Amino acid sequence: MWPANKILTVLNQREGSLTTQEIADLTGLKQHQVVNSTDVLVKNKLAYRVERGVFTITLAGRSAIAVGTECKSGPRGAVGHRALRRISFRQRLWNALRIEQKGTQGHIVSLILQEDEREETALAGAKKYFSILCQAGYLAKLPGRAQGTAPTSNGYQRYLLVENTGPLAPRLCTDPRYLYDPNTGQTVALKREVPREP
Amino acid sequence: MYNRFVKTSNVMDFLAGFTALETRGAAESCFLLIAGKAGLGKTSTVRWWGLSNQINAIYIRATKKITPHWILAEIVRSLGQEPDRRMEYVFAQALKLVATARRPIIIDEAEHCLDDPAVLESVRDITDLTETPVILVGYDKIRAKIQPYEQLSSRISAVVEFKAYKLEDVRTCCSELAEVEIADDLVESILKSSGGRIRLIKEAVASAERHGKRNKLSTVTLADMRGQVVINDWTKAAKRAS
Repeated sequence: MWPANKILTVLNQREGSLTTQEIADLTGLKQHQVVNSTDVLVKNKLAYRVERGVFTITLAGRSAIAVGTECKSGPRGAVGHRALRRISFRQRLWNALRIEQKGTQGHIVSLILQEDEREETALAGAKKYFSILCQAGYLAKLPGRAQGTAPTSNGYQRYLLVENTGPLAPRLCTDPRYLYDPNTGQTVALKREVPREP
Repeated sequence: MYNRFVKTSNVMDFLAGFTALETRGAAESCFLLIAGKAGLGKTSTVRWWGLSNQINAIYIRATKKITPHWILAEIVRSLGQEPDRRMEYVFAQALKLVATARRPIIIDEAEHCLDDPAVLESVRDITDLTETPVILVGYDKIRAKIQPYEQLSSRISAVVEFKAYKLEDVRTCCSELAEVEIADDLVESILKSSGGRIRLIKEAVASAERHGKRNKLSTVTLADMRGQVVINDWTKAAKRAS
């Protein structure tokens, strides 16, 4: 159990208020843990500081215990879009797509592959990103496939960039899944690709 | 075939040319000219180079009837802004963005920019102030075409001529791209029938690899490829290994 939850449970069980020392004795936490965690509880309005070093539970705290909400560290609410590295792998893929306009995954990867990168890993990454862009309607699949060299090869899918919105690579946001385009500031719903009728 | 970019002698010449540009004496001589016939890998080389992490260049593909406003708008758009429709404003926009971004500018099919010299003059006005390197890529006659415009030609610090691939280059392509080994006699044959053009060399490597895999050969020789179509060159009849 998280320290803040332990303290909240103890405050809920005891009527009235408790000092930090009493909380530490009842929970088995160290004094500094109690100080930090009560601070978190007060900030979240789950506990109330009666006076310096004396705390009591609030109504919100009681309902949080009843519902089973955990009070733990981490962001409070949505944090927005993730900060990205300046030139990530997907950004390089996007740059190459903007320049080339069309091509197979292998061809696009060959342009951006760095000395210290493995081809298989890069191709796997490209496969995922191309799939996302296809689902968002940024990439279209071209008819006719590039010829492969293996005897049983079905060839390679060729793609065409149909939405060249700007220099920043669109990025995937999860839960719910959508594509965020930093060039337009818009979000695009992803549509699952429906397999073609035989 | 492996998805790799092969560093041939032309690529090395280009990299040396850019180093010469970076170590130039006059700050305003910031143009590097890449010239050569079609199919020698000029565009692929500058795209690969421009996409590398350290460079991250601005890539512009010039088209027929390009105007000064058009090229400046392309630069502004590549840097993530919507260009103004008035020339004086778009110039100010481009100047500010290029100065801030500090990324080299690649102008592919640059011969189109010479139909109206004002196009490259606009770029020159920006690069004179920002000292940004500009890579001009064009076909082999671009050198003669740019010569009369002294204000432009005097700013070219180096010219890199892309030549037809030599035997060593073809050998490097075969060893780095093919998943099967290609024998020396076939390498020589590929050089002869491709005329040293990378597009045709890649096609020949793919044909050899396909034949090798189909017949479970670890090394493909010229004798193995006898009677097979190696290169589809429409300018001549389909070349068969002989």
